[in-house]
Amino acid sequence: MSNGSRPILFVELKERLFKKLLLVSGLLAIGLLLGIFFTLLMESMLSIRETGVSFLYQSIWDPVRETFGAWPFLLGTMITSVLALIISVPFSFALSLFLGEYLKEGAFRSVFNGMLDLLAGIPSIIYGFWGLFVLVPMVRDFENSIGVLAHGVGIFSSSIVLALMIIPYSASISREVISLVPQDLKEAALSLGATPWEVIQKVILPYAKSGMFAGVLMSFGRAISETMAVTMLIGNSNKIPTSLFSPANTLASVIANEFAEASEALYLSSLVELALILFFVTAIFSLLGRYIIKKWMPVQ
Amino acid sequence: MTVNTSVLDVQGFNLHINEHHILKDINLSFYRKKVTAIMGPSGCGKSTLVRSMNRLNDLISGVRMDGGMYLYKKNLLEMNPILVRRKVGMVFQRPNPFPTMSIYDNVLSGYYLNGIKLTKAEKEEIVVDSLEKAALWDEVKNGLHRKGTFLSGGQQQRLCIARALAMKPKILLLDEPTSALDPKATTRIEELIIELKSKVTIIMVTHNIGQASRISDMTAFLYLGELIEYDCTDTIFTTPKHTRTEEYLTRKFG
Repeated sequence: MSNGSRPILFVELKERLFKKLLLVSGLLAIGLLLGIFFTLLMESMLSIRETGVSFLYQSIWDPVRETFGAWPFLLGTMITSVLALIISVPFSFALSLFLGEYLKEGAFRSVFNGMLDLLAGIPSIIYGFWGLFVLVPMVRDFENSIGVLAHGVGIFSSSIVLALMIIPYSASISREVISLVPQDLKEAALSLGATPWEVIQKVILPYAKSGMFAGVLMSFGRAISETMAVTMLIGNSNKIPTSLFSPANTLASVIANEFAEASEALYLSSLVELALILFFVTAIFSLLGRYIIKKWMPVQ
Repeated sequence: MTVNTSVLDVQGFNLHINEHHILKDINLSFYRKKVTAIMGPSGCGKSTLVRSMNRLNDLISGVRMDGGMYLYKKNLLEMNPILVRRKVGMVFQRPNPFPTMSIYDNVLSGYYLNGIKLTKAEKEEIVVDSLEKAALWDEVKNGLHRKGTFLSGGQQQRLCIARALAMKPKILLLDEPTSALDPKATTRIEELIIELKSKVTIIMVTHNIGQASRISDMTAFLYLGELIEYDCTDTIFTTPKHTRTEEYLTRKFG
């Protein structure tokens, strides 16, 4: 037997090399993250030293006069993302319950699931185009009809497109969470005479709620950092938004809009500081989501 | 044996899943306040038969049932499954108390799930009564508001029995209720089943031949989807009429 006589030393060496390889790729990922973080930190040092904490609450962003305050963008980011979340949550929860509990098998289910994955994979510039050509004219008509200044572009249009973009993502997270509810428990509830709706309401949702909440947080992180589609639709205004229909800017969209023209060192550094804030906020929401899933999902 | 009134009569019952004929022309009656054991090798359809009795098989896609299962003369296959399940309780292989609920709420979960409102006094009475019937009261009375999942496996299974009994079912189905438990917990459950039969009709699926002989009054032997033999447990274990039954009982197969 040639296999039996293979030297054990060789096998062990291969095993050890493989482990090393895995370790290196793991460290590489961490290194990348730290590298991005320190680059952002170093590049924004000038702005941090110049503007200090007031950067966070200063409401004027005027590159010409070199006054840099992030408040309009923080506000713009929060309003668009929260609005997008409010629009998307009912749909994504309904969708995940539908796919997880009602449409459990069959061709229809695969079609639905496939479409959901496809939606998640559409490049955001296409969402942006669709928003500009289809949604913005509709929103403009709507704004005219209710008598507000009709920009078409602005927070409202961005939030609708953002909502469409995060629905597939958050629906697939909650679908996964719902599929973690043990079949045992559903059967136990049914055997006590519960209807499918009662099973959802009183067994599945209580079991899955923390996971679904975590999914919402993770989707929020997504919405905050979405750049392309929002840049196209939000109207590029550096003023504090006054209504849901105002043009505005988010952290991501102002960077995309202004990065190419930032020639002065302080201007550039201030934009990088915006990126640093964005980096922190998205990291926090993503970590928080994961933590909640790990910590609060009931164990059987 | 004196035959007393039957609670459930299965007549000419067939079950198909897609083109597979799982249960073939089953005829048997279950008697009031008796323990009936359903035995047979793996895959013979015994769980499927029991799960037809509370319409849990409705969840399987491609399932087709014909014939009759008469619960007090009414064909439960034609009744609303929700109503059937309130009358026919079930305990599963693995203990499955609701992890989001306390012991107290687990016992009452059938009422919560069905949206039935109870007064505080009614709740107390149902909880105490059901836990006493399930021989769990003494062990949990000082911690009723702890989560049910903190109990041991055997206690959890008795909690599941209490939960089923709380709905005051006509029939209690037990689908291999001790297969996930250790020998000591198994003995507790077996003792409990014997106590319970004065209160409710019990139909139990079991893999365990010894268990069937210890606690059942009647035994049905299923093989490849057919009912081979059905008789008093004593008769089946001492003078089985069919060689298949005898071979199974003497552990020649299965």
